[in-house]
Amino acid sequence: MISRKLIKVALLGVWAVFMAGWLVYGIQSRTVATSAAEPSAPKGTEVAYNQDDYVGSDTCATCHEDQFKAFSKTKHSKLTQVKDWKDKAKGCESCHGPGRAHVEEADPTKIISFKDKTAKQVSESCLTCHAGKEDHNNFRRSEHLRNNVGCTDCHSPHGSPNHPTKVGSITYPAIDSEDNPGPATVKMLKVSEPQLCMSCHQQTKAQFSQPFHHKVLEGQMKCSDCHNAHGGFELKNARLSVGADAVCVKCHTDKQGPFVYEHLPITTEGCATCHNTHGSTNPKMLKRNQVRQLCLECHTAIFDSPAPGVPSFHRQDNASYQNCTNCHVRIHGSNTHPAFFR
Amino acid sequence: MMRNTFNDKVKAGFVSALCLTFLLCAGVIAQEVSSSSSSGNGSGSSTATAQDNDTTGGYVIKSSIEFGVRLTAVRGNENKFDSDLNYKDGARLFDSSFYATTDDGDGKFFDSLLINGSGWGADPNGFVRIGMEKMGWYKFDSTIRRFSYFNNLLNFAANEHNRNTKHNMGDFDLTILPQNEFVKFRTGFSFDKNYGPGSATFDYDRDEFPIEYDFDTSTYDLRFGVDLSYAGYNFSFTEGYRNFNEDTSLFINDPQLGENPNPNASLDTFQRFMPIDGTTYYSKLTGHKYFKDVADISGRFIYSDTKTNFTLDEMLTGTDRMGNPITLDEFLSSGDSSRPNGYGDIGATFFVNDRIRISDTFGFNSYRISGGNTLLNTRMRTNPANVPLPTTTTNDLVWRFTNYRRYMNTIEGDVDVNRYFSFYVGYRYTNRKIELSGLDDDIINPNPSEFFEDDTNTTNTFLGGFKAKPIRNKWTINFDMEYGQGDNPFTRLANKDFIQFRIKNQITPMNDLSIGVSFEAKDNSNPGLSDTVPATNFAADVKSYVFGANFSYSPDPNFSLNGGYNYTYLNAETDVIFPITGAGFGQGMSIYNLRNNYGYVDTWFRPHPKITIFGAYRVSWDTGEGNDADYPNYWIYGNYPLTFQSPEIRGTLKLFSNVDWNIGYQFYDYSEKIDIGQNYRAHLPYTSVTVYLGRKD
Repeated sequence: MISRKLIKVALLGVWAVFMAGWLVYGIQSRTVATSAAEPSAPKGTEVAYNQDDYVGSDTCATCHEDQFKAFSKTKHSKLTQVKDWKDKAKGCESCHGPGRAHVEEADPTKIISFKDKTAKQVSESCLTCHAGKEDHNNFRRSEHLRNNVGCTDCHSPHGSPNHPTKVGSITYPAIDSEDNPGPATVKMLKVSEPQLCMSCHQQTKAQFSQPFHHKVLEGQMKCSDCHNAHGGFELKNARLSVGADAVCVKCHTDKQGPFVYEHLPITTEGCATCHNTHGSTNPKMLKRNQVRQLCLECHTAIFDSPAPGVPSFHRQDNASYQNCTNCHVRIHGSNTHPAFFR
Repeated sequence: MMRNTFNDKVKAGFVSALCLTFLLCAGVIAQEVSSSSSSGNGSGSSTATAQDNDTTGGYVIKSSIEFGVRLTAVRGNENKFDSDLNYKDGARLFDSSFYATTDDGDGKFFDSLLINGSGWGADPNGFVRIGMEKMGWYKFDSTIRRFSYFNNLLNFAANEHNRNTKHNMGDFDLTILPQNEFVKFRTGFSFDKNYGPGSATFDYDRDEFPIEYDFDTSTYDLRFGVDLSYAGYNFSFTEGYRNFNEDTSLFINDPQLGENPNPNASLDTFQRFMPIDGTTYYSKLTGHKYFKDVADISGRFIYSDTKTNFTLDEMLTGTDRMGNPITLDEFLSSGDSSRPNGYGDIGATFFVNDRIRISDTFGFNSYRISGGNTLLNTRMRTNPANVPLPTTTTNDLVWRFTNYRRYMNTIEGDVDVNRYFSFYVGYRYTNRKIELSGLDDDIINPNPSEFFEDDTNTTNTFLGGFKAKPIRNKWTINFDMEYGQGDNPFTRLANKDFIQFRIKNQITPMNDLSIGVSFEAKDNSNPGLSDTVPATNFAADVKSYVFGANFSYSPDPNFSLNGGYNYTYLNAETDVIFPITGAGFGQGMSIYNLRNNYGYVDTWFRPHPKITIFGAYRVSWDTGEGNDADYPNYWIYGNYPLTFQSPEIRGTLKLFSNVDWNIGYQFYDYSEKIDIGQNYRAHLPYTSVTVYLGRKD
C-alpha cells in the first residue's frame, strides 16, 4: 500500500518538474503569444505584417462609420492613449489586421473578417490579448468554448449595443440601455446580465421566479457572482469563495466552519445536495417540501453508508419527530453537539 | 413575529444620501468639465464622435435616476408575503445609473465612472455598483448590497424557526496599472454583516422549547495580489485573510412550557452565548502560458488554512421531565477546529491542427478538518419537595477528524468539422477517499474510545456533445450529454449512476423574431441494499426533465413582445426505513413530485412619442400529483401544489426632455392547493419620476 505522504511528495515532485520544464521550454522557444507587440491574426490567417501596412482607424471610419462610432467609445479604442500600448494597439487593425491592401484595392478579402469564422477561431483572436488574466486562463477548456460558444457570442468588441430605453417591470431592473448604462456597457456585453445568460439558459428564469430564490432577476446578484462564464477548474463553471471554499460561503459565512462536528454531505458534496441553488417552491430553497424526506433519504438503514439510520424513538407518526431540524438546529455543523442540537 | 420594523429615518437618510451621491457626481463632473474647458487643459481635441455625443470638455455623461413611492396592500398571510417578497410601503430608489466617460481616454481623475443602483428604500434588497477607471493607472470596482431577510412560514419547522434579519455586504477591488503588460497590483476588501432577531427551538430533556435568537455575524476579507507577465508567461499571486465573528445569543423572555405533553419539562430562564472567532489565511498562485498553435497550459494552486475558536456558555433553570426543579443547569464548552486545504489543478489544451483540440484537466483537493472541545455540564436539582438532589457533573473531551482527498481528471477532444458543425467527446475520472475518526473521553473518569471509518469511491463519466447550424444565422442547435457516475455518490439525494442530456435550439426566422426551444433530461439511479436481515433492494431514483420554449419579437422600435413557457417534471422515489409507533421499523418509500409550470409574457409599446407602456404576466404553478392519504404506512409523500402569479402594468409619460413620470401597478396572488393559511393577495401600486442627464430626444 503506497502511503499518502509518498503520493503527495510524488505529486509535488511531478508538478515541480513540470513547471520547471515548462519554464525552460517557454523561454527557449521564445514564443511570445500574449504580447501585443505584434498583433497576431486568428489562426490560419497569419501573414508577415509591416508597420507600413497599417492605415489607422480614422481611415476605416470613412467607410465603416457606424462601427467606428461604437468602437471609439470602447476601451479597445482608448487603449491607444495608454502609454504602454501607444505604439502597439492599432485600433480596428488590432483584430482585423493591417488595412492598407484592403483600402487601396477595395477588396473585402484583403482584410481579416470574422463573419465566416467559428466561435473558436474568433475567440483565438480575442485571446491573443485577453488570455493570461486569471479569470480567462481556462477559457480554451471551458464548457462554453467546448460547446463552441465563443467570446463574441456574449461580448460585442465594437462596443455594447445601444439598446433603446424601454420602461420595464417595477420590480426587476431593465436591461442596460442607451439612457441607462450599466455594467454591460463597460464590459462590452451584448446585453446585461442576467438576460444575456438566460437567452441560452432559459430554464433558469423559471427557477429564479419561484417563491424562494436568489435575487438575480431583482438585480441584487449576477450570474457571474457564482459562475465564471469563462470557465475554470470547477464543474459547472462555478467560482470559489475565499481560498478554496465553495462559492456559497462567500455570503453564507456562518456555514463556513470548520466545525468539530461536520455534517459530512456539506463538506464533501456541497450545499446543492439539499438546496436548489437557483430557486425552489420549497422553504429555504430545499429540494423537498418536507425536511424529513431530505433527512430520511440518507439517514436510513442502507448498507455501507456513513449516514446512521434514525433511532427507534424517532417515530414518524409523531409530529415532533417529523420536523427534524426542530431539535437538530445546527444542521450545517456544530462545535458542541454530535447531533447538531446546539 | 411582527413584520419588519425598520428604522425608517435611517433608511430614508440612506436613500436620500444615495440620490444626492448620484446628483453630486453629476455636479462634480460638470464642475470639472467646466474648469478643464476654461483652462484649456481638457480634452479640447474631442473627436468627431465625442462631439456627436454632446461632449463637453471630454466627458460624456449619461444618467438616469428613478425615485418613487410604492404602496403595498396585502390580503391574507402577511408573513408568507414577507417571506416571499418582503416589499414595504414607502419611497424607493430604483434602477438608477450615472455614467461619465471620456471619448479620448484623457480624463483628469478617471476615464470612466459608472454607478448603478436599485432597490434602496422600501425595497427589501438594494445594491450599488461602482466602477471607476483611469486607463493605464487604476481600475476600481465595488458592490454594496443589502438584503432584508424575512422568514415566517407555517410549513417549516412548525413555524418556530423564523428570522427578520439584515444582511449587508460589500466588495471593493482596486487594480493598479491594469493595462500594464508586465505587472499589475491588486488589492481588495469585503465585509459581510448579518444581524437581527429570530427564533428557533431548543431540545432539553426530550422536550422542545421555542427560544429567541439575536443573530450577529460579521466577516471581513482583505486581499492583495500581483499579476506578472513576461515572455508570454502569466502568473497571478493572491494572498488573503478573512476574519469571521459570530456573537449570536439565545434566550427566552418568559418561562416556557415544553411543547410535548408527555414528558413535560419547563424552562424558567434560559440564555446561551456562543461566540465564535474564525480566521482564514489563503494563498493562490495561478499560471498560464500559450504556446502558439501548439498548446495552452494553465495551472492553479490554492492553500488555505481556516481556524475557529469557540466557547459556549448556556445556563438555564426550570423543571425537568420528572417534575424536579432545576436550580441551575450549566453547559460550558470551548475548543477549536482547523481546516488546512490544498487545492491544485492543471489544464492543457493541445492544438492538433486548426480543427482538432485535445484537452486534459487534472485536479486534486485535499483537506483535513480537526476539531476538539471540552464539555462541562453541571446540573443542580431538587426534588419536588425542594430537597436537594445530588449534583451531576459530566466533563468530556472530544476530538473529531475528517480527511478528504480527491483526484479528478478530464480528457476531451473537440473537432470543428466545418463552420456549421462541431462536436466533442470526453471522459472524466474521479477518485475520492474520506476518512472519519474521533476520540471521546471522560475527563473525570478517563475511558477513551476511538472510532475510524473510511470510504473510497471512483467515478467514470463519459461526455459528448455537438453544435450544429442547420441554417446559417437562422438556426443553432447545441446538444450535450453525460453518462456515468456523478461526483456525489455519498448521499443518496445526489447523483450516482446517471445519464443526462440537453438540447437547445436557437431559431431566428426573421431579424426581429427569435425563438428558443430546449429540452433537458436527467435520470439518476442509485441502487443499493438495505442494512437489514435479509437485505432487500434499496434504491434511490430521481428522474427529471425540463422543457422550455421562449420567443422575442421586436418588429419595430416602438413595440416588442416576449414570452416563454417552462415545464419541470421531477419524480424522486427513495426506499427508506424508519419507525412508527407500535410497529417498529419498516421499509417504505419517500416520494417527491414536482410538476412545475412557468409561463411569462411581457410587452412594451409606445402608442405616442411621449407615452410608453409595459405589461407583463408571470405565473408559476405546480399541479402536484396524488394525495398523501392514499399511501400506506411507511410511505412519505411530498409535493407542493401551488400557484404564484403576478400581472403588472406600468406606463411612462415623458414630461420634459429629461424627466419621465412613471405609474404602475403589480398584483401578486399566491395560493396553495392544500390551504394551510398561507395564501395571500397583494396589490402594489407605484409611481415614480425618472430624471435623465444626457438623454437624447
